[in-house]
Amino acid sequence: MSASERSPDVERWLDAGLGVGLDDLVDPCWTVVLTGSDALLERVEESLCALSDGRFGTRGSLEETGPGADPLVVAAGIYTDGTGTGLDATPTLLPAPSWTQLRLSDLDPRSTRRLLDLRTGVLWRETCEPVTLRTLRLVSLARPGLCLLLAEGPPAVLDPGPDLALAGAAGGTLHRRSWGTWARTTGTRGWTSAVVRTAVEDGPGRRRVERRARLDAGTGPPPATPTAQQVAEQLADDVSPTRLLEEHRVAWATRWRESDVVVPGDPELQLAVRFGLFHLMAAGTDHGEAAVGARGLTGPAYRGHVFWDTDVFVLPFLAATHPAAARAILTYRLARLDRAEAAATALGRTGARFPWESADTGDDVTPAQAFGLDGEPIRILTGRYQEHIVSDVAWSAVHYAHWSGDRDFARTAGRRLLIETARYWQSRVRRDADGRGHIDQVMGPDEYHAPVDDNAFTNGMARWNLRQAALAVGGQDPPALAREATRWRDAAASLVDGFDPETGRHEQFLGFDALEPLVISELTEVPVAADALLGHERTARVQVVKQADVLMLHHLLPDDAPVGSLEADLQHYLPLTAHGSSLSPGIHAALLARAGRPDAALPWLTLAARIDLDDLTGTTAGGLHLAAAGSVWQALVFGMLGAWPGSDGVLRLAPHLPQAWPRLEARLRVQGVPIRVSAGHDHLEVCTPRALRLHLPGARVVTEPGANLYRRRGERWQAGGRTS
Amino acid sequence: MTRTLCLLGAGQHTATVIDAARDLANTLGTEVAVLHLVRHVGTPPPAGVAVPLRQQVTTDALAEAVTAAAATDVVCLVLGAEDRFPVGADDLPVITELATRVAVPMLVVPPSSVLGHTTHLRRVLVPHDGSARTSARLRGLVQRLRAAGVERVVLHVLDPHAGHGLLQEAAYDLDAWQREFRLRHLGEQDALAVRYGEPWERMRQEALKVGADAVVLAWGQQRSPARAAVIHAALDDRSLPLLLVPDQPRGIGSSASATGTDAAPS
Repeated sequence: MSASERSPDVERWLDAGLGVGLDDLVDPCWTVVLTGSDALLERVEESLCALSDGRFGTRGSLEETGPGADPLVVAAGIYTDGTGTGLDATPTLLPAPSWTQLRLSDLDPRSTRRLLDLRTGVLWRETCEPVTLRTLRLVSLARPGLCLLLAEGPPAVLDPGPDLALAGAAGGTLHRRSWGTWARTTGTRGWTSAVVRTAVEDGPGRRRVERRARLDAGTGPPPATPTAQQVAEQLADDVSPTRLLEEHRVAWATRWRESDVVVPGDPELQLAVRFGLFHLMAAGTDHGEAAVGARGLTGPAYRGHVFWDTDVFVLPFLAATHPAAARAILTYRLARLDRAEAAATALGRTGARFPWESADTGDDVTPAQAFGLDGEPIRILTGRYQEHIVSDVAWSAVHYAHWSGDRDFARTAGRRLLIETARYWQSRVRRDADGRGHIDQVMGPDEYHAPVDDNAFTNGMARWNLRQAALAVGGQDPPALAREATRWRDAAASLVDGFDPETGRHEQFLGFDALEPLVISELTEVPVAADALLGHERTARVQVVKQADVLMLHHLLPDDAPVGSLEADLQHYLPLTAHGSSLSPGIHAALLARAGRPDAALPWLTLAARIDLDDLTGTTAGGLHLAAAGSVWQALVFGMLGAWPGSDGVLRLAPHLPQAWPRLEARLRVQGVPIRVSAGHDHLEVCTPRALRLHLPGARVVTEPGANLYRRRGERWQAGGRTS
Repeated sequence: MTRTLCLLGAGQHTATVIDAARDLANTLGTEVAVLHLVRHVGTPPPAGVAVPLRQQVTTDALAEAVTAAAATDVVCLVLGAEDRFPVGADDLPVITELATRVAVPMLVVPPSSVLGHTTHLRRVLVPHDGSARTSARLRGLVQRLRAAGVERVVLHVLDPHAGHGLLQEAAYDLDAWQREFRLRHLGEQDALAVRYGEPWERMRQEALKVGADAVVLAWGQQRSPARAAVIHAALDDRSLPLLLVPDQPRGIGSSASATGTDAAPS
């Protein structure tokens, strides 16, 4: 453990309990400070301060759960059936026993501050009036499932109260034992449990409460009541709280060493970027499978369902920094490949059709309907038509393999994913009389228009999927598979993609250009929910795009697009885009930067980075927008740094920084090699522990161990020496 | 006993205004007092007034009304949308000016109102901009209405010209957003409607759609067009009874006066 990880407040905590004032901990680039307690904002702040180890998430509710509180503990991938209609009819995350409540009295909530220390993954709380009470909370990254709550204050205000609460946890049972409390919640599809012990130490005018909780969850038979010995092991009785804290800090320091992105000179943006990275890191586990829902484990919205958000927006960050977590996401998909195959079969297709919304079984859990602004039922068409999820999953597997260099995965599970998804597209492509391939009746990322034929994104991704699968078939494979691969190549070659050589750009889908022209950015301020503004029917008739669609194709497959088409498509589609999705601004920032317009990218990047911190959607109370956080990382790394892992194992770098930034730095892991990339406007430094192949504009280089310097000469880069 | 103060001037719809005042007073459990502001001594009282009436001769009706409304037992003010009052040498409308200066809720009764005549106050539309300040302004009055059994339909209008931060993810975000709006601003029994469009027009349409007997509008008592566009539009429209709730209301608008037991924010 380095000196910085063993920062002074650990020792001070040992000496003075929680006498460390929050002021000592504030760092504008690392700490999110929430002042006061407002019942109206409490649920937003609970989301912002959520803590997770990738398996279990605990919202950052105040310990006394005052007005407005919505405390929630959930386990990744553990669902229970919905009990209502519309959205409520679908499976939802099963609430687990809540371990953070204390009985606090006579405190002035206006004097409360919460401080989320992103560097260490610790949530601090301080209330100063009429007396001082402090708490520290962590969900151990070093020992997943183990949680620690420390509180200190005058005995008159600090009463530990019950160890566990089951509020909101239907089907819960709670048992008090000599060693503490054990509770379980049981849903229709799984169970969660918690063992908790609370220790109280009273001194003169001061009480210290230490609570440890061990969370568990599963889908099989629930466990029996643990024995005292098991509890002692589960709660790590032989490990001091200080040691637990240190282990946790070390684990977080390790993650940050792998993953940090440094934006010098802009502390506000820096904090927002790290806030997103913190929650992305907390969202996934390294082991087994990771069902990363759209809001992670930070809140109940989206009911923990897994969308393309996970494959396309969250996974790239993990693949490029902490591949084990990306692999766990792929394991989740692979474990449900059989259900995807069954879904394809049910539709008369071959291969595997992944569901637009997925939960535990891998069956499609997209709700059939929701209710619109006027309360009218709206059929939700995404589950039926948004089939690009099939190639999104395949793309995530290849993307992971390119970053990680995991050849074993590429040869086995990854190859199987590619083949089964390609088989789906092969059975999905319709050939016309001229032999051209079409994919009819789909919905692209632009959900304002559906169903449509020949969506450029869907077709482009399917074509890529077919070709990648064909590439994965070699001479050692059975002849039948080789013949299949030939058919995949033919189908890929036949697919139309809407590209018009005359205009140099893509048509989003067949007939999009014939829709009524409408420049949404001239009509109103964006971001805007254009379908709410114009009505569903009119929105479907005009050229307004919900989020990056054609442009998403450029984003995911930068090497596949015709030369010059990125700029043409940006020019055409950006003014037409409403950004009616939190996924949109970050992707546009990435593309603008890649197109050499980083200053134009910056406002979009800033917007995406602040979506939750400023509750720009009004829905942060339901959890954090993980995909938006992922898009911010992609804007910085894919966009500003121009980093991209090639299929040849060579990392592409092509920095484009906003004028206001002196430098941008990112930690990445390429082919198993941890590297630090630091880019300025005319220089680039790549620190690697061993040789790594790079492709810079105008240059192919091989790094040497240490810091490698490159300088820009016009549009080309060249080696500028090795510094150490 | 607290009083609902009904102001009469030289309007043609006196009975309509008094009916509405009596109905509101009955709903809120107050007495009705009628103040008739006249220019000349000996002006006959309006015909058919069956409640105690006090006449006050004045050429500064605004000051008289403000003074009368400031009495501690006055908890609500009622006047006609088209009524005119002696101000200097003329009879003038005073609603907007009065609304900026009184600290109690003010019911503005249009000539077409049937409140207290053929209908009673059973349902109100409560436009809400989603701010904590609006919830604070409305809290006391809405709790009183809730306690009186008056249904509340809370309306949030997304103004396309104002820009807003709603990034909609299919139906999910709307669902989550509405859930959060309810938790922040609505009581358990309150209904919520969210509409998109020009604010007052959507409010008027929604009031008709839900059969609201009145529209409850909180405002900051700043009458510049930019700050009170909806209030101006609503007052000009004169199609619905408007209950204007001032910035820091007292009387029935005060949180402290609320008798409801529901602890919801509004």
